[in-house]
This record gives sequence, C-alpha cells and structure tokens, in this order.
Amino acid sequence: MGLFSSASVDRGFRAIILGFVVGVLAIFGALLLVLINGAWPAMKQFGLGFIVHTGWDPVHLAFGALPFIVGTLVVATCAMLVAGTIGLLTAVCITELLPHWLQDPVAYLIELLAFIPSVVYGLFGLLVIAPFLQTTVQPWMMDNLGTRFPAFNGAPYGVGYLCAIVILAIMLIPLIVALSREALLLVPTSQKEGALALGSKRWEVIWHVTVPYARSGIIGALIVALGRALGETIAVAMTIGGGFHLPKTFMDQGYTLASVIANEFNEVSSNTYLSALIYCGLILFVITVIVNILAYYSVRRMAGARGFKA
Amino acid sequence: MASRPEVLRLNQSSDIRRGLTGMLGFGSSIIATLLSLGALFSILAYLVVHGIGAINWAFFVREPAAVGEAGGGIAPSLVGTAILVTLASIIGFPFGIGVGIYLSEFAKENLFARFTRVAINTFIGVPSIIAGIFVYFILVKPTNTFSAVAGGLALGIIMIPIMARTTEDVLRMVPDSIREAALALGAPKWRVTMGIVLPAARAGVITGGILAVARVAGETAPLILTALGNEYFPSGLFHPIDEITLRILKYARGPYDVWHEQAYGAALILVVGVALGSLLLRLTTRRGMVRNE
Repeated sequence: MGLFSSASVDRGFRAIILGFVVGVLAIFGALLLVLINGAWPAMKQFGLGFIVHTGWDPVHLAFGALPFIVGTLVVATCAMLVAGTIGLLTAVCITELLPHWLQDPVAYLIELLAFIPSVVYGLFGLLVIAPFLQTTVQPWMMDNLGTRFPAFNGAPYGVGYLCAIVILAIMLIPLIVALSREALLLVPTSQKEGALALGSKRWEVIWHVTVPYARSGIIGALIVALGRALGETIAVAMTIGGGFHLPKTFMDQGYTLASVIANEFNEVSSNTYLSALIYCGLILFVITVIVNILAYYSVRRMAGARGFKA
Repeated sequence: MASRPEVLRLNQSSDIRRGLTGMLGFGSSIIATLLSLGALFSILAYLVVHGIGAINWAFFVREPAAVGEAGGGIAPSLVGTAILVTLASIIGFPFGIGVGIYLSEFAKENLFARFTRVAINTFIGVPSIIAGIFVYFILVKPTNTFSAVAGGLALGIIMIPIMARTTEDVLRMVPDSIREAALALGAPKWRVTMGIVLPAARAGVITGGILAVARVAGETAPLILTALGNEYFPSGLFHPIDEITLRILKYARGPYDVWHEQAYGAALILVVGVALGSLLLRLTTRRGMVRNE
C-alpha cells in the first residue's frame, strides 16, 4: 500500500485540483501587478490628476484620460438607455404576450445576436450604419434638432459617438433580453392570477405585478450589461472614429478607455505614451471589476431562487 | 342618487385610460421585439448578400492577394485561428475544468472558496484587452516579438474563467445521491469525481468547451497586442500569426471594395461557424439535461 494507498492518491488528487486553483489565482494576481507596473511611470508622473485632466499630446508627453473616461460613460450610458428599453420590452413581449409555441424560437433568435463576435458588429457599424448615419440620419438631425439642441449638431462624419452608441446598443440587447427573461419566467403564476382576479388588465398585471416581482433579477441583468458596455473594445474602436478631446455633440469622434488602447497601442512612440495607455487600462480594469462584483451579487440572488441554469 | 352618474363617468374615463395604457404598452413591446429581430436579420442579410460573392474555393486555400487586388484568400487566417484556439485550449481547459471541479466538489463555505468564486465570476467580465496587455508585458516584450504563443496564452487566460463557471454549473447538476452512492460503495473521492461525476456531466462539459472555443475564436482586441496578424502562413510558434478576426478588422478598415467584400465573406464564415457551435450546444445540453434527470 504505502505510497499508492487510496488515501494518499486522494491527497494527491486534492493537491492537483488545489494547484489549478492557486495557479489561476496567481495568474489573476500577476495580471493586476503587471498592469500596475506598466502604468507606474505614468502614475508617478501624472498622479491621480490623470483622471481629471484633458489633453493627450504624445509629442509633449502630456496626458490626461478625462476625455476617454467621459467617452466611456457617455457611450455606455446612452447605449444602456436604448438597449435597456428595447431589451426589457422585448423580454416582456416574449414571456407575456407571445403564444407559447413562439416564445422559445423568438428568444433563441434574439440570443443568437449574442453569438455574433464583436468584430462583426464593428464591421456592420463601419460599413453599413456609419454611411447610413452620414447620408440620412445626421443631416436630418442637424436640420431639425441641431438648431435647438447643440448636442445634435456637428460635422456628419458617420463614424463617431452616435455610431458607437447604436452598435453597442444592438450588442447589449440579447444580453438584457436573455437575463431579464430568466427573471420574468421566475414570477409565480399565482401572483399574476391574483392580480387578474382583482380586476387588473393584462398590461397592469405586467407593469404592477410581474416586472416589480422580477425587479432584482432585471437590475442584475442591467448591471451585467453595463459591465459589458463599459468594456466593449473592438466594435467601439471601429465605429467611434478616434479623437482626443472631450465630446461636445453626438456627432463628435472620440475614444473610450478600451478603444483608445486597441487603436493606439501599435502607434505608441514613447515609453511614457505606452505607460499612459496602460494607466487607462488600469482605470478600466478597476471600474469593470467593481461593476462585475455588483453584478455577481445581484444575479446570484436571483439564481439562488431556483438553482443555477447552464 | 346624485353621485351615481358621476362615479359611472369616472369609471368610464379611467377605463379608457387603462385601455390606452395597455395598448401603448403592448404596442411598444411588440415594436421593441420587431426592432431586436430586425437588427439580427439585417446583420445576417448584409453578411450573406455582400459576403457570399467572396466565398469560393480559393478563398479557403489561398494567401491574401497583393494589396487592393481581387482574388486571393484568407487561408493563413483560418490556419492561424486553428493554431491559436488549440493553444488557448491547452491552457484554458485544464485550468478551467480544474477550478470548476474545485468549486463544485471541494469548495467548502470558507473564505478561500468564496474568494475564488468571486474572482472567477469577476474575471469573466473583465475586458479581454486587459489579458492582451498582460501577455504583452510577460511574453511579447521579453521575447521581442509578437507570436502565436502570446496570442494563444491571452486567449487561454480569457477561456479559464468561462470554462470554470460552466464546469461548476454542470457538475452541480449531477445529483448528490450519485456521489453518495459511490462513496457508500467505498470509492475514494478522486474516483467519485473523475469516474462518476465528471462522466455524468460529460455532455455539459463538452458543450461548455465548444462555447468557450467559439467565444475566444471571435476575440480581436487582445490579439492586436499579442498575435499582431500576418499576411502569410504561420512560420513558427514564435512568429506573428493571423486570426480571422484580425483579417476582418484589417479588411473592414481598408479603402478597397475587394477588401470589404472579403471582410463580409470572412465574417460570414465566422458567424456560421459560431452559430453551428451554439446550435450544437443547444441540442446537446437539452439531451444532457434529460440524461441527468
């Protein structure tokens, strides 16, 4: 027996499994350290002021990430407003309105959108949405909205904030539909029947009973989508145009934290520039980790109600 | 008696209001659904209409033509994708499945287990470009070259948390009674895990693997920092290598109509491949779940 007794094999197995876990945690830890180390020269030079300063000048080595932070927030918020509205209404339509035999196929079709890789969305945005915006939507916006709201004025390039927002919204819809549908399906029929018995109309049941009951799950779905919106890289990089100034209108071109890294990384001309980009990455990392921890706890609360679903 | 008609009128007007609200609600949710479906169909339609012309035998077997010229193919990108995905799987599968086994079979409700679970679930949502930055500093800079190994490592790191979570989920679907039965027969823990639980959840683990492969095959951002891209067939694991997404990126941004058509064609191939994977996933998980019940 000795070395090969089942107890020692068991200990060995346990050690191997724990080894994988420790290895993975070590990779995560190393990732954080490498990120901080790469950003360190810029952190030392610009300090926390990096976050609140504008100006991105590779020649004079003066960098501030405020335009990208604002860009990230603007693009993510606007895309979330569009995708949140459309996605929630779609989830309600699928679970509450459509006949049973149609629910799964429609949900599957919309979830198919989630399997399309980012770069394909970027391609679609760059070659289809941007020209459409440039020739049709943006001239209309300038004529009808731009005179009263400066945010809708500007030069119609096609690519820019508006294009990135549209593409990102399309990408977020399937995620929001899938997760909020899960939450809506958890609402007990007895709750809806109770409301109907009290004389509610069908829409009132949805609005006053079903949606409030699924509230925590829906919020979780929105937080997951927000994490995705903040971090989306290549589709935004292909459609936002590129620019280092604070956005003034929806037609401006700019960058988000993620897309500035993707587009500028292979253009870096100095170590300070590289370090400033990594600093952007570090800020992005911190933001997304916080959002994802929030998402984990809010979605787990929902999943706990009936166990995990693969 | 005087108040009665008033009540009636009130009810009538609120009835109309309630009816209108309902119609507005139903109407807008149907419009939203049509918009969502419309987005899907217009993307697919554009890919098929513009991309189908680029797809022929040469597209699969030839290297790209000279800049801006018609003809040529994306064969190096397809070979590169296969190599990168294989390298990623070598890293992603053992670590991901190992962590999944830990979380499902070993983790007790202590701080370490909870920390591991939160870390895995957090890293699923970290933007993939961060993994690219990491690998750039630990591999690309020291070896002084963009390479297939660097790209594979970045994709593998992205794969680990995805694989860990699906493995944990499918292992948890295996009923405890099966574990207890095996333990009662005197099987040691490792036999129970590797011989009973993992085979019982096999279908789920395999489809989770397909999902993870499909997910990393569609990654672009981390590869810009690690694999870089290449016009020719890969000449070695420590040389820059192409991926189908990098090819789409390059052709989409180029000024030539030929490139745009080939970008649509490559995107069509990628989407069809990924959709087939998802269909397989759907079919097998449905079967797998039935078997577990």
